[in-house]
Amino acid sequence: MRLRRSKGIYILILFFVLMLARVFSLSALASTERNQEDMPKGFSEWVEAFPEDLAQLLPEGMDSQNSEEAGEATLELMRPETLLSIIGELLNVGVGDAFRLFVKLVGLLLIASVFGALRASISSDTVSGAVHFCTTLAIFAAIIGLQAEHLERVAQYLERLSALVGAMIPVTGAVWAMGGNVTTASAGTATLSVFLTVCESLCAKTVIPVCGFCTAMALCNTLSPELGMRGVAGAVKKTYTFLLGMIMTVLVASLGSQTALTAAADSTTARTAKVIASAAIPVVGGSVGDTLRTVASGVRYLKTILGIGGIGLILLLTLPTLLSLILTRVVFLLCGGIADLLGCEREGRLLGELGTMYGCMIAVVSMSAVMFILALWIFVKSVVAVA
Amino acid sequence: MSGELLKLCGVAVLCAMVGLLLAKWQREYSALVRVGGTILVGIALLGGLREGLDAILGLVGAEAVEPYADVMLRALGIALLTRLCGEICRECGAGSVAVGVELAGKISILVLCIPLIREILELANEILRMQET
Repeated sequence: MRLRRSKGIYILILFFVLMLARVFSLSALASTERNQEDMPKGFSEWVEAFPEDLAQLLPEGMDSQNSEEAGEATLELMRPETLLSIIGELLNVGVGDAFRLFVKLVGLLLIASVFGALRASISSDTVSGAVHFCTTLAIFAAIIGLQAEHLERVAQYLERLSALVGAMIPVTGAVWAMGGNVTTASAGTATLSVFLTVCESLCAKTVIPVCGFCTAMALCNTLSPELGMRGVAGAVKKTYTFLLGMIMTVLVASLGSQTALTAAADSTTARTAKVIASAAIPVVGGSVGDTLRTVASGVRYLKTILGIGGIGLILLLTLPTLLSLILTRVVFLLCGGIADLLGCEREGRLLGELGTMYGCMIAVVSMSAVMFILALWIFVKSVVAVA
Repeated sequence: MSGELLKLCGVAVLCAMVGLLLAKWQREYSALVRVGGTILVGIALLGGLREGLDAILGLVGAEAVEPYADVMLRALGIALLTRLCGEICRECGAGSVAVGVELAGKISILVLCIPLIREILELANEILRMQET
């Protein structure tokens, strides 16, 4: 009787253990299926934060909640052919605008050159000086409208970048946490928030005053070279770009080292928990590790989609503004050289200085983009704790 | 243009020669002839300048640069006119009048720059408003 009872109990325990194993493997399968089907919460808000006028450049399926579709769309976006065709499309529009600007500036320089030759016949220095002042002011007035347009464009770009990254931060935190990197999630999202604050407060609020100051100095230097303002403007530009570069380097280094340290700590915690679970749970303790590895591969896949997709979105957002600034800078520098050839030295100096000011804007735009791209790359490369 | 230039040179030399001849007998008429010749040359010069400028504007696209080219042309026109008037006054022995004419020319050019300065200040205000938002 006693033997029959104990046999029954053993069968019951065995049955219970087998059921438990089945439950674990079912949940692992479910989590794999879930990882294939669902992007994390906040992903759709992230893609919606991308500006509508540039959304036509995105491949189909980029905003899909299905991770496989989103993964394929990200792969399609990051193909060299896709990126080059987007750059080609943007250049088509940009080169046309740059050519029109070039023709306009060359026209003004030709007129200034002809007038300069005629001005030589005016014996009176005061009247000749007044004519020169008028022609320089006319060229400056023709250019400054374009400056204002580009400054507005840079400010708009920084605003859009901040909106996009602001939507990215909660998603990256969620994915980090999914992989067991809880400490990394809190430290990483905090650092990304600092990046965002730097972009919003430092870059967006300082680029316009600095560029405005440099433009004013360029005009003063052209109209009154004896004041010697060229050195002041050059020093301000160099100091500004150096400070920005330094701050961004420090922030990226901080994020990289923080992520490495916290990921290592999270890995240690996760491994300890796995070992305890494997030892404490009889029979099925080993399958806990297999389940967690499955989860980790799913999380790695999500991280790759989100990280690379985010990098693609930032590139798409940056390219139109960056190409426009680069082409305008090239036009200004070319026209500065042409002005020297035509004998319009003052106008050439003005165009040259305005061209270097565009270099300042290019630095702000590219540094902001690179900072976030590096942050996303660190996110992709960070180790999943439960792996 | 070269045909017209020959005519212009011919008129200028003729006026100078007649002025020289009249200087011996009728000094006042001599001055009038010289002033008349200067005015004729000045009008022909300004016409030729407008023609040349229209040709350049046609090449580079008038809409983009015309407002500014217009200001530059007026400034140059004022400067040349001032120069011519100043020289006429000096030839007639009125140096102080010549100085007054040049000063008036300079002030006119600066007044011509006022719309440009206004446009630049408006754009600067726009940039400042961008910064505030």
